[in-house]
This record gives sequence, structure tokens and C-alpha cells, in this order.
Amino acid sequence: MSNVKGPDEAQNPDFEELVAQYQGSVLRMCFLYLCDKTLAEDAVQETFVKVYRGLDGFHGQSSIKTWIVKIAIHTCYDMNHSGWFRHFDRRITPEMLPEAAVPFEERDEELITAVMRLPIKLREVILLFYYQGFSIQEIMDSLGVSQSTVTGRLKRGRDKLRGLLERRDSDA
Amino acid sequence: MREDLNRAKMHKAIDSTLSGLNGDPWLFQRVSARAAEGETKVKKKLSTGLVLVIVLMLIAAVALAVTLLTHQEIVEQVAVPLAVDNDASVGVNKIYNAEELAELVRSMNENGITLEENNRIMQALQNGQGYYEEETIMEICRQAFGGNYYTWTLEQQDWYEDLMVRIGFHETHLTRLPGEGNMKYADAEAFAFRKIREAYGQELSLEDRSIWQLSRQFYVENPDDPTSAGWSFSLEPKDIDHGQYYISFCDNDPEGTVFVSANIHDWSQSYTGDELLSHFNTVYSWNYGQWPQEAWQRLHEMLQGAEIDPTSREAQALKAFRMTEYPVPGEKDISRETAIQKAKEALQDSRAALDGAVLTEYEGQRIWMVSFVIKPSNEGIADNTAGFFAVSVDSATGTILDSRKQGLDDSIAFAYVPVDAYEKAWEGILRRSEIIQLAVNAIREKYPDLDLMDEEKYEIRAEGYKRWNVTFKAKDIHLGNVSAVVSMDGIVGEINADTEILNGDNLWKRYGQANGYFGQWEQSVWIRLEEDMSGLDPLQIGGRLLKATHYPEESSVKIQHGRAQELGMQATGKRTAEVNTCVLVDAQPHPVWIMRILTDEADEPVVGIDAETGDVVFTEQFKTDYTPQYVLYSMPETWRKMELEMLGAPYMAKVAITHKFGDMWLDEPELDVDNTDNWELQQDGLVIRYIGRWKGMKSYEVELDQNGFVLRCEEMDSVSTEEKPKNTGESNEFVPAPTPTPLPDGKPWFWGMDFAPQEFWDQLDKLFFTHVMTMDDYPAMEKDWLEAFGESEFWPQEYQIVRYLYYASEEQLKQPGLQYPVFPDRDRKSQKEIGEIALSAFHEIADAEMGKEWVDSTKIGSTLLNDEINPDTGKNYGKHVWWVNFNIWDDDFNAWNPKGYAILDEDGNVLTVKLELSGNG
Repeated sequence: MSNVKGPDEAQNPDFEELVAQYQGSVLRMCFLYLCDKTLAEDAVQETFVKVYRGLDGFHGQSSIKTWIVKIAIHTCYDMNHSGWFRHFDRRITPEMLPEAAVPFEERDEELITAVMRLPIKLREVILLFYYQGFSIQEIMDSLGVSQSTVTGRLKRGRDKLRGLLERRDSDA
Repeated sequence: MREDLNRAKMHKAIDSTLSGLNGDPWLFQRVSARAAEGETKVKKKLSTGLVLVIVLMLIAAVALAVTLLTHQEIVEQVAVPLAVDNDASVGVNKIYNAEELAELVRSMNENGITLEENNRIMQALQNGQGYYEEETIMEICRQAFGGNYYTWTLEQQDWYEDLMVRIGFHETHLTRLPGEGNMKYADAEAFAFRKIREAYGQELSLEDRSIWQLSRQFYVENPDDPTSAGWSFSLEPKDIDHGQYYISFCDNDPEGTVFVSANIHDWSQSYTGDELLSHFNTVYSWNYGQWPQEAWQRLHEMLQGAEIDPTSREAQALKAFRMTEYPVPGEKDISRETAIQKAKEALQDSRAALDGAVLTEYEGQRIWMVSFVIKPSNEGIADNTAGFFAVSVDSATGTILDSRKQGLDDSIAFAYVPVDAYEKAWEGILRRSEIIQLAVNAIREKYPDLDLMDEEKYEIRAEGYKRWNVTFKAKDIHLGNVSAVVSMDGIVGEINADTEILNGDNLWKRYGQANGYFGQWEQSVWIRLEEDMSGLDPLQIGGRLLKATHYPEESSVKIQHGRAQELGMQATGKRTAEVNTCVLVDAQPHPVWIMRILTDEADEPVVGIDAETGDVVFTEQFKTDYTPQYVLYSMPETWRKMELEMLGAPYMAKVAITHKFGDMWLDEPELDVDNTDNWELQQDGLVIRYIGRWKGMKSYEVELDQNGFVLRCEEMDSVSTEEKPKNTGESNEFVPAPTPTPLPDGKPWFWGMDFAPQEFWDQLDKLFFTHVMTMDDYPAMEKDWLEAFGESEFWPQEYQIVRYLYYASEEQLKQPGLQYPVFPDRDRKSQKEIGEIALSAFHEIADAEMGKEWVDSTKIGSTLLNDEINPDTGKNYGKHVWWVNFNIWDDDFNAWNPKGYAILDEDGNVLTVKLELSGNG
């Protein structure tokens, strides 16, 4: 699918610009990854500290955005695997989503809830592919996995999402 | 969801549903402050002398330039060969070193191509540093082609992709130019514009690049599947009067697959200040300093008609922008350039880089607001003179009226409105420091001994959007984190405090709070941790292993941190993404560097490197959820022995089995061998067997030695011939009835809502609520029902109704035309009868294609809805209908997937039936 997006690839973005440009989408992605708003905000701050310091390196992604998102994914990954986090109940219901600033459709909310219920390995490829607009190659680079792993997880993620949403449709 | 997923839908869903997560205007300041506090960059630097030589060479090169290469030739003839050479060895990261970068820049200069001084690449070079290969190449390409990757022509995109493959960044060339069987670009663009116009108006002048920037892409999702090729176009507006349009379609069936969306605001209707600002951000970016004067004036005008939510995080800024006018500079005003010059002189700092300059007018006074960014002289070293500054310059006289540095209390309006307007806009709005003080006061009432404002003890974070989350992050390991939630109008809600006394088991957590993620700790932190642990007595295995391990000084060993990482990466034999965790641990005969390495092949080996000889001492696999963190900070012989003592041989055997035979990429533990429903544990000393109870299931045998090391880990077929029973949903005999619970306070919150008739509530009352349960009982019941029936579509209808209500939100239940599950009419067909009738109908249409046996193997899930949409007409049936799915078990995914459906009315009349082998996507 397409990667065409507007604000990506700004010329010579400085750090402040990067923060302004990407923090919103990175925050939303971290929230969908971690299923917790406060943790997601922490993850975003950690991400941009790492971006600022450049310590995590830039491993050949095709854009600044890819690099930032990769750092964010790794930051979430680290937080996700901290000892206490594993015992934290993150089952999400629509009521637990942060209050929206603009009106949205019920189906959108259902889609988000379904995404958050995906197993993490499926969730991350779905988010990178469908939300961040990454190519298969960029996901491979970001997660350090093979093409077959990415495409396999995308397929399973899609199937699982369909299953979750169809069941919800049946309920609704 | 009976439609395919695509990126536009996902974007829309996430961006609208999570629009409350907008980020934090203070993030830049906070991150800059944090980043400047501590660690320094680790990039290799050149000596000052060599930098001077390089710069002199660059100057000379310009003078000597004779034959000029184009940007593309520079990339192909210089940049790519350098990048390819650089990546020849294993484990190398993809950065041009300073010498290579200098060579590349010199080649550019020789050919008349220069980069601006404040360009990142030039900055890196002037600092004697290298820079990222791909970013460097991208920068040259941007100079050549303008815009960004997606605004380039398809040929330019294809050329760039080709480079990426040649350098080795990408394994395959996933994008390609449209071929003979594909649409031509011009036709695709014309089709896209036609469809956008059909949807949003024929008058749209989409070809006008002064109004819209066009992004385009031809993509091939699966190179083996010609039908996976597709097109997408995006038109981003350059002013706020025009909308944003997006379209995608498949190459082989554009009409049938077209998806068009738009983001259009009708400003003649009511709108909020937040909506308006968000749209301005979309058009003019978040970088307010670069907004043109007319953008500010337009924002000011449009804010007059906007509603400003007092609980918005931007309320103060919106008020300030509304108060301030932004006139066109006239003859009586000093020029923008003069204002900038005077402001910069006032700052007296040569590092000051211009952010922006805007002419403002408030209460009759016209003031140029000029803003600057001053970056720290040495990145990584705290510098109080750095920051974001606003200088007020009288537009008539050029007098400097004010000069301020932005603080954490300040809003985004800080540099773009006059001081008087800025301060007045704060009236009635709490500043960050006031919010923090309110949180402190409330916390002290509960915990009077906590010294929350002591900077030595706590780092204060206050963030949020609709409410403030104030966190006091403990810097001292004897203290825990404390947090409070405060509403925008200052009401303190939930307070959480970790007041546990320091002990051997929480020391690890406290160190994490104080020092961040342990993977990035320096050796000195581990040494301090060891000292702090000395007086404590941990009970849990993680703490006991910390206590049992000695962390020596790095200076005591021959091989240092950086070299150890290189050796570790080489030991994997793979291209590596990064070293994540590296700690020096005492061992015999020499200390060992233990590190976790993330490789490009998705595994995470843990490698031990002898700190004296550089030999590889051990390699273990670190596998996501199945490996405890202590393998990263203690030697295998230590943690294995302790695991054996404390956790036992069956646990170690399970881990060994999971590591060897499990699929680590799934969170679902498909090899959960300690699930006694599926495996029987047999133990014979240090030989552990997990015997599969069902036919086709594997059994496992593991033998450990006395120190907990795995001698043998084998998989074998189970001897069982018994089939594992599936949750067919045929019987509910082992489902316990809901436990009767008195209801002291009546019914749940949704009781009696308008979406359902009174009859619905009466039936629900009889079944569940009069005597039997509260909604608090639901999670336990859901667990039972999932176990008994499987997923919810296989549940009895009554249970599905309860589930629906449990997960529904009030907002959802208030929506007009709500579709919800209803109670079956007892005088008409039962759920079971409906299933049988639906199956017969499914046989009629599916037997010929799939065979009777396949149809019989489907599992039926059914739900009665009040008013389902007819999928053929898109209109409602106007009566209660049963939606029946026919599901096939998918071994790969361990789940039932629908392969067809039928819709019936309550009398069993089949309204529609379909076979959908590919699902609904």
C-alpha cells in the first residue's frame, strides 16, 4: 500500500521541528503499543531524548521519521518488558481511551480497540504498516526481522483484526 | 468490519479516536533540558588539527573545480561506493566516518555543489564527526530534486530505491516503475483527480501547485502478485482555505478499488480554537516561527469566531492570539530585517539562530516579536545560556522593550504575542508551576514527610492534555515515585506514592527510577548498586542474583566497553542493529562483559566476552517474554544454579522447551507446557518430561545437570490417541450459573436507556440482574463463558447481550439508530434452530464448490441484532435479524475464521447467504 504522506521528509528538520512534527503520531503509536497514556507519554519523552542525543544511532532507515519511529518502538519494547509491566492488566475497553478532541465514528473506536487487543508482535507491524506508512522493507529494518516474518505477521494481524471486528459487528 | 483495512482508514481511525493525544507543547524544552543534563555523544571525533586540514582542503577544492558532476552523479560515483565499502564487514553501523564524509563533501564542492553551513552534515563535519550514510545521500537527493521522496517523480523514486538496494540498505527492490501491463502515470494521475473531483467538487483546481503539493506513489506490495500493484496520491494544501485530499486504488481494477478521503473544514459552522489551531499547524507546520505574517493575521481573525475551551491545554495561547493583531508592516514600522538585527544585538550571543519575527499590535502598540534558538555549545553538556528566547522590539523606534528566555511555565504563544497580551491571557488559567504546587499541597496532606520540591530528591514532570499528570520522579533510591492527577482547573484527583522502605527486592526498581533503563547504565551505576545492595537482604531471585554478583571497575580489565561491544557483535556472525545492555561482571578466571545484542535476524543473543582475552565465554538466547532480565547482569553458572534452587527443575525445563521449540514472536504462549489441561508433568530427579495429553500434541523431555545447565532438550510425538475436545458451543453443561449476589444499589448505569424498549430491560432483569449479579461479576463470567463456548459469537444470545452492555460506552449507547443484540422471541425460532436452517442454506450454495464435508465442518456463530444492515442494499431490514457466521478453524492462527454468512429473520426465513473464502477484506 501507499506511503504517500504529507508532512514527512521535511528538509533539514531541526530538533524542535522534529518534536513538533512527530510527537503527535509517535505518542498515539506508543499509546497503542503500550495501552497506557502515562507510559506512552514517558515513552515519547524517552524517544526524543534518544533522538536528541543520537545515542541509539541511525541504522539506515530511509527517513528521519523511520529512525524516530524505530527508536520509539524500541523504547516501548523496553518498557513493555520491564518486570512490573508484564503483570499490569492492559485490557482495553472503549471507555479507557483518552478523551478525543474531535468527533469520531464508532467504527473508528472499534478499530482502535481491536488493534490494542492484538498480540504485541502483530500490533507493532500493523501500526508501522498502516499507521506510520512504513514499507515492508522499512518494517524489516525497524524491527530487525525478515521479510517473511513481516509479511506473515501482517497477514496474521489483518486476519486477527478482521476476526475481532467481525465478532464485534456480530455483537453490535 | 466488512471491508478491507487500508492506511487511510487506519490513519483516520487513530487520529480521530486518539485526537486527545496531541502531545505536549513543552516537550521540546523538557527534552532539551534532560538531554543536556547527562550523557555525551559517543561518535568518534577527529582531532582539531585534522578538522582544520579538511576545511582548508574544502576551500581549495572549490577553487580547483573544472569538470562538474551533477548531484546524481556525485551520489552514484562517490557516495554509493563509499557506503558500500563501509558496509563490507559484519556488525558495522551505517555511518560515514569523518574522513569519508569529508571526501564526499569535497567531491561535491569540486563540482560546485555546496551545503549550507547550518546543514546537519556540515555541522557534523565541522565538529569532526561522521554522519549517517542514508541521511547524507537523501540530503543530496533533496537538493537535486526538491521537496521530499514522495513529491519526486516516479523515476526519481525508483532511482533512489535502486541506490538503496545497491548499498545494501534494502534487500529487494520493492518499488518499481509501472510496466507494460500497468496504467501509465499520466492516466493514473488523471484518474485520481477525476475521482477526487467526482467526490468533492468539479471546481477543484487540483493541478494548481501553488495551492496543493502533490505526493504520489506507485507501489507493489507483493512482487510475486501482479494484482498487488497500486497507486496513491495525496494533495496537501498550502493555505487554510483548501482541503486535503487522499486517494488510492489498485492498478488492475481502479474503479473497483478506489478509496478517496478528504480533510475539509467548513469554517462557516461553529468550531473550536483547538480545531482551528490544529488546521493551521497542518498547513503552516508546528514551527510557528516560520509562519508568514498573513497566517498570524488570519488566525487572529478566525479566532474571533471560535469557541475556546477553558480546559484546553492551549487555552492561554488561543486567548493571547485572539487578543493580538498582526498588521501588515507599514511605513512607520521599522523593517523586519532591522528588527531582527536589533534583537540579535540585544541577545549578545553569536550562537543565536533566528526562529521567526512577527509584527504584533496590542492596545495600540506595535511590537516586533523576534525569537531565537540558542543551542548548547557542547551537545550533552548542561548550558543555562542555551534555550528559546523572545525579544520585543518597538516597531516605531527600534527600542528593545523586553528580552526573555522561555521557561517550563510558558506556553506556545510566548514568542508570538506581546508581553502584555501574553500575561493577560493567563488570567483564569493555571500555570504549570501553580498546578505542581496544588499537587504538592494535596500530596503533603496524605504524606507530610515527602520533600517533593527538593530538586536533589525528585525530578518533577507535569504533562497532560485534558488534565495534568504531575509526577515526582525519585532521584534518590531511598525514595519512590509519587504522582498526582490534577484537573485543568486545579482539582487534585488520584494520588499514588511508592513509600516502601528500601529493601533488597525493590532496589532494582528504585535504580531504574533513578537511572533510567538499565540497558544504558554505565558500569559506575552497577558498582553503586552493588554497594547499596551490600546492606540489604533480598528474598527474590532477581535481588539475590544482584547480591551474588560483583561488578568490577572498567579500568581493572584490559578490554574496555567499546571494544567489548565490537567483539560481541562479531561473535554473533550477523549484522547487528544495536547492543542493548552491556555490563562487566566478575567471573573466573577473568571478568566478563555480558551484553544483549539485537540482530537483523530478529534474535537477541546474550554474549559473554572475556574482558582480558576477548574470547567468547558463552552465548545464550534472550527471548522476549521468556527470559528473565537477570541473565543480562549475572553469569550463567550463577543464575542457573539459583534458578534450580529457587524455581526448580520443571520451571527450567519449561523455559528450555520454550526457547528451543516455541515461536518467540507470538505473545500467545502456544507452548505453555505447564498448562495441565494439555500436558502432564513427570519428574525423575533432573529429568523432566511434559507429556502431551492429546493426539497430535508433542511431548518434551529435558535433562539438567546439577548446576542447572541443559544437557538435553528433546521433542517427540505424543503417544496419546485421544482427540482434544474443542469448545464447540453445543453444550453449556459445565458453565456455572451466575452466582446470586444481592444488589443493594439497583441496576447498572445503562439500565433503562432509550436505545432499547422496556421489554428488553424486563427480560434482562429476569435473566441476570434481579437477583443474580452485578456488572462487577462480568469479568469472571466472561472467563467461564470463553472457556465453555470459545469466542463470543458462539455464546448463547443472552450472554452476548450482557457482554455487549459491559463493553459499551455511554456515548455509544446514546447514538441514534444503534444496532445492538436483542432477546429472541420465545414464540419463534430458537438460536439452535436458526443455526440449523442457516447451515442448510449454506449447504445449498457452498457444497458444490467446497464439498458437503467442508460445510459440515464449519462452526456456527450467531447473533440476533435489532436492525442489521442488508449487505446487498446497504439499507436496514427493518426487523430483528440473525447474523450467522460459518467459521473454519485456522491452525496457523489458532482461531476460527469466518468463511461465509447467512442472515435470517426470527421465523427462520433466509434473507441472504454467502460463501466468502477470502474473508471480508
